[in-house]
Amino acid sequence: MTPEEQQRFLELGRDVLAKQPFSVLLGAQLLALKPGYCELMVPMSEEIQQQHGFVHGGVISYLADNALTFAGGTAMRVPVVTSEFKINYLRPAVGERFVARAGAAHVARTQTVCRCEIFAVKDGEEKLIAIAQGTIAKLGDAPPTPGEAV
Amino acid sequence: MSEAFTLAQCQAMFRSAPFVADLGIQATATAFGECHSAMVLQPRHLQHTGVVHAGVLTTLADHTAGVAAQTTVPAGSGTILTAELKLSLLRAARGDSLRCVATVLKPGRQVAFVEAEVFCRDGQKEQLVAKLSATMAVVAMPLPK
Repeated sequence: MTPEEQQRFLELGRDVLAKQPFSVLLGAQLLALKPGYCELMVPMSEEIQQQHGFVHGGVISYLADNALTFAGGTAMRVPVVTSEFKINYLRPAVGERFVARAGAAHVARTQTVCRCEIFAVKDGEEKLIAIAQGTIAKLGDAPPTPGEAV
Repeated sequence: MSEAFTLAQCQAMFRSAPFVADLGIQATATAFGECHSAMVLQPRHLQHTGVVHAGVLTTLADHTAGVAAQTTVPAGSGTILTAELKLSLLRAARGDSLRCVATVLKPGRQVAFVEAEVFCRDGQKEQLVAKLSATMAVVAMPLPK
């Protein structure tokens, strides 16, 4: 990809994000996007906290889910949905902003397995706060026939 | 066994989390090791495709599962934080409201294992849209007042 193509790719991703009302509600921003890779950020705000003042696990899961889906969707270049994901919360989410970096680990015809790390950024320093893995499925595809590799 | 949590106590645990309160999630019923919740769907909860964002489903399932786990912890002996969760998205959630039922399979002094199901109602029809299983950690931290 040329730098111009990369920029266009990122802009296309930002257009998709802007059309997701829930992403807009959380103030999510796409920092980087290329085929099979995504960097998504949510800034700290009072509205996204839980009862102890940390960011709610649901917001961190949102970051993981959306970043995983962007990574899987751009890897397969088709409309996709998240089929399942798993997340481990490692540390309380405390910081100025929260960045998810997701990459496609295995791309197949009907689904892609993606991995994601979520970091809290505070005073310019990043701390790993969660790790996620998920299956991103091609949308509206007929189920594969038995024995066929998915 | 700890004294049973009242519904009012459960409702307070939903109200005290700003993000959960902002989404409009409320506790509707509780028992030892169990919590039910519900929320009315609004456009801001949706994806660009018009279906409910998985982040909303996860928040609903996670928080309800956490409160279900909290009901098994004797008063004053710890607070619940999610250690890990797994969510299966079974079908697209499209409709008027969501309902969640969370059940503790195995309470414990250090960790509790919880499952939750999320249902989406569209008019008269209600369907299971997501299934969560999670490990909740019991940590020494005072509960919010």
